[in-house]
Amino acid sequence: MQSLEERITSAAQVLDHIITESRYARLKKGLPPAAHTSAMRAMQEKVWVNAHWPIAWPKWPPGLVAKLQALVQKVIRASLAWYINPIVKQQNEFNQTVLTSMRVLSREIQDLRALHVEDRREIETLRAQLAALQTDSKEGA
Amino acid sequence: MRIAFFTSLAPIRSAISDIGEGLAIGMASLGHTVDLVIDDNYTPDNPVIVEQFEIYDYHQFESRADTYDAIFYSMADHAGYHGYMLDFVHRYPGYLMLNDLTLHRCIMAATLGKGDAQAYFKELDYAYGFADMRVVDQLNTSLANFVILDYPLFDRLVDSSKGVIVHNHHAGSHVLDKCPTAKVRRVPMPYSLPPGFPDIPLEQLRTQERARLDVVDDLVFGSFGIFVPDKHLETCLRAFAHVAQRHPQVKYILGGPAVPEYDLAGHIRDMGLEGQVILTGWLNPSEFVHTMAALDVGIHLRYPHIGGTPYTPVRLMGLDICTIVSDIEPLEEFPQGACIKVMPDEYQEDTLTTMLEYLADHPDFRKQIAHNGQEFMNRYHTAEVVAQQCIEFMQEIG
Repeated sequence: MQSLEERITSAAQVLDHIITESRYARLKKGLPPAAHTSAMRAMQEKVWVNAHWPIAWPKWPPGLVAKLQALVQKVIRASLAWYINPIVKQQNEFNQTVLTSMRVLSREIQDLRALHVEDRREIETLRAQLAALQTDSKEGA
Repeated sequence: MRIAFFTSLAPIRSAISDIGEGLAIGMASLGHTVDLVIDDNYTPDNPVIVEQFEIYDYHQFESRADTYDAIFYSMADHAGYHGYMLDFVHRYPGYLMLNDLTLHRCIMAATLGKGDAQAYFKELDYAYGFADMRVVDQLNTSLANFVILDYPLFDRLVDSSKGVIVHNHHAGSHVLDKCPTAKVRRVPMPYSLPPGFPDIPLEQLRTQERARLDVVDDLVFGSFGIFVPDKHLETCLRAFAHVAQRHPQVKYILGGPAVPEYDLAGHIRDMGLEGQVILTGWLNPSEFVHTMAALDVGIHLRYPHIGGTPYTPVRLMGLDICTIVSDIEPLEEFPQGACIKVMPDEYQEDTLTTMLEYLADHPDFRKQIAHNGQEFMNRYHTAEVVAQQCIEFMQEIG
């Protein structure tokens, strides 16, 4: 009667083999780009900061007070452009750099994972060969 | 020991209620006196709990606080269920069981949500040295789960507590990273059946439930809990659809409700799986376990996670069901072989599909994983074992 630990180890070996083979098969078919993860997609969507949120566009708001308020906002924004635009420009440059770095890292992680899958498969093969050799040597003895 | 145990209880729809009830029974079974302290806006409805324990609402606790040797708070990130504990953790220091690894939403709702921005800023300032809305602004983006873990906001609560209990080492190191002087102990998440659950053999329960759900001859997969997109149900259902092509006698039970903004029923329709998927909606704790018992294979994927050990896999494994989980840090202590762990990466769907097909073709292996999982739960996760570890921790600190 095997102990729980032995049964868990034995089941884990079967599972590791199935997982490795499945990953290897997927790898051969070609992986989806790592950059397509949801976090990367969200980052890509939000990378560009816009200093010019639409005010009274495409339509002016209804009501005189709202129109006046929008007009004042437009004037304030125009008069502050000299101050805000350079900051937004710097922020956008930084965001683009971060996104590019993340893409590079994603690609590197993807390559490392692929390498890992290859390595695991090779280890599985070597283990099987070793087990066969050990069995042969026991039978020979 | 005389213990005041702050927890939510059924009918509050939270796994924390199940955990609290099981753990309280575990502590009481060791000869300790446990009184339960709950919020003031509901009445507990489990007759076994009501009969076995003195239950007080938090207003009644203050006059009795001196009569206890230890105060135990089972807390998670939901202000509606656990927000009432926040003030008490500071005023009556005790042992904080962190079932989630962030309390940000709970604290935010209990402060900012009630119009008290200053209280929220005070917590932020204590923990991170800034006091503004930068975290709140990011909580409606798709990065919310990552942001919330960067700012877990448990710092002042941990510093106010005599000791902190977590359910996985990842959570333990995270707490120590933020609060290096905290006394932290990892105890496994307790497994128990709902108090008063019929005492019948699991095999009999399984047969009975499969007949009730009309899945007697089917191979039954399933996922349980509250369904959010982070549980990757579409991936599970696509993998299931592959299996269904080769094995027409299959069903998928979705035991629980989907959050309102997640159109799970629509996805099922779009995938043409209406005839093979059973969507139960909300189940009370007893119905939840009854329905779960009908499964051959339970799947509980979760990524990203918020650090807490998910409760559903504990229940699935305890019920002798072959369980597939995401290979994530909070489940590090669950060994591959006692359950099946699938990495949440680009290979996830292929791996899951291959695995479901293998399990469909190898019933003996399926049963072996199920038995391994159940024995693992019985050895390390029973409410009595976990309660003993909690008591020892409290006694050590004193």
